[in-house]
Amino acid sequence: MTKNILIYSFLLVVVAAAALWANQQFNRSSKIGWMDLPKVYDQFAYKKQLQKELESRQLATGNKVDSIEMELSVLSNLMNEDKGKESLINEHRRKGNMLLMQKKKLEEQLEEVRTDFHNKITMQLNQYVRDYAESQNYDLVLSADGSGILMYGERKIELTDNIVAYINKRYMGEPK
Amino acid sequence: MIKNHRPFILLLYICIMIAACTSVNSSAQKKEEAVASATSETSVGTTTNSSESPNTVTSYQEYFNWVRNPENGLNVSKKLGIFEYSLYYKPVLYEVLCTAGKQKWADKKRIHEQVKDLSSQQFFLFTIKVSTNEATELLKINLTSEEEYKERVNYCSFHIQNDLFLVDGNDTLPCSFAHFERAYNNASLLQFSLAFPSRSQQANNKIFICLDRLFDMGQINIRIPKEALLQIPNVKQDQL
Repeated sequence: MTKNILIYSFLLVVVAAAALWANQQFNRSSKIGWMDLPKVYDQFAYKKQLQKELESRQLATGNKVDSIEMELSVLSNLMNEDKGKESLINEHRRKGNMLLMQKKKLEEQLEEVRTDFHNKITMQLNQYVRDYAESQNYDLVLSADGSGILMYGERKIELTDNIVAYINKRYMGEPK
Repeated sequence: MIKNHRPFILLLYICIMIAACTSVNSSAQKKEEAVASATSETSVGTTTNSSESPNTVTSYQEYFNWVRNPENGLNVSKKLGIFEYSLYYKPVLYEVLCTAGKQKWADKKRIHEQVKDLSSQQFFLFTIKVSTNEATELLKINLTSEEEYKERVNYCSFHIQNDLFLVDGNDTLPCSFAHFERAYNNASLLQFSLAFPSRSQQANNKIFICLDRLFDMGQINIRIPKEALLQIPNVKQDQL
C-alpha cells in the first residue's frame, strides 16, 4: 500500500510538472503580433523626411524635362518647315536625339534616387521593428501589406500604432 | 484492481484539472498584461529623471571613472544592419583630463584654465563598428573598387565633418572639428574625435546627426539624453 502511494505521488508530481511546463511553453510561444506595413511605412519619420526631399528633386527634374520637351516641340516644328532640306533636318534630328537622351538620363537619375531612398527607409525600418520585437519579447511579428500573406489579424494583437511610435523614437536617436 | 486505486486516479484527475485551470488563468493574466503593456508602450522612454541635483565627486580620478562608466548614459549606440554607431559625450573637464595625462592632474590651476579655454566647445567620440565574423577592414566592406577605398579614407580624413551635425536645444550646429583616428591594430573600428560649438548654457537633449555616405546607410540620429547630462558630477570645489 505504502509503495503504491509513493508511486502515485511520484506520478502525480511528474504529471503536474509536465502540465505546468507545457503551459509555460504554450504561453511563451504565443506572443504574436501584426502590423499594417503600409501605414507603418507612411508614418515613419524618415520616410516623411525623404519624401519631401524626393518631391523637391522631382520638381527640379520635372522643370528640366519640361524645358527639354518644349525644345523638342520647337524642333519638330522646324523639321516640318524645313522639309526637303536634308542637312537642316539631320541637324534638327541630331539635336532632338541629344535632348531625348538628356531627358532619359534625368528620369533614370530620379528613379535611382527613389530606389536609394526606399532602400534606406526599409533598412532602418526593418532594424527598428526587429528591435521592437526583441524589446517586447515577441516571437513573431507579421505584416499585413495587402499581398494576401496575412489575410486576417485580430485587433487586440495589432501593433501598428505601438510600432510607429517606437520606430519614430528610435529614428530620432532614442536608445534601444 | 481499478477499484483499489480509485482514490489515486481521482487525485490524479483533480491534479490535471488544477493544472488546466492554472493554464487558463495564466493565459488570461498574460492577455491582460499584454493589453496593459500595449497601452503603456507608447510612453516608453519618455519618463524623465526628476532628480536634477548634480552629483559631487571628490577627485579627478573619481570624475574620470564616472564619465567612463558606460552605465551612466554618456555613451549611446545604435545598431543598423551589420553596423553599430556609437556616440560618447566627453564633458570638457574629461577631455582636458584625457589630454593632460594623469601625471599633470596635480596642477589643478592649469586644468581649471584649460577647462575655461575649451568651454566654448563640446566634445564627442564617434565610433563605427562592424559586427561580422570576418576579420575585414571596416573601410573595405561593400567595396566596389580599390579607388573607392582611397575615396573612403580621404572622406574620413577630410570631408566627414561636412556631414555631421548636432541638434542642441533649438540649435543645429555644424561640426567644428573632426579628427579621424586610424586604428591600425583594430581595423574593424572607425573612430572620430569631434567638436561642436557650445552655445547653450543649459543641459539639453543632444541629437547627433550623421549623414552616412561611407556605407550609404542614410541619416543616423543618436541622442544623448538630457537626464544623463544632468547627472554629470561636479568635482568638489577644493579640488579646483
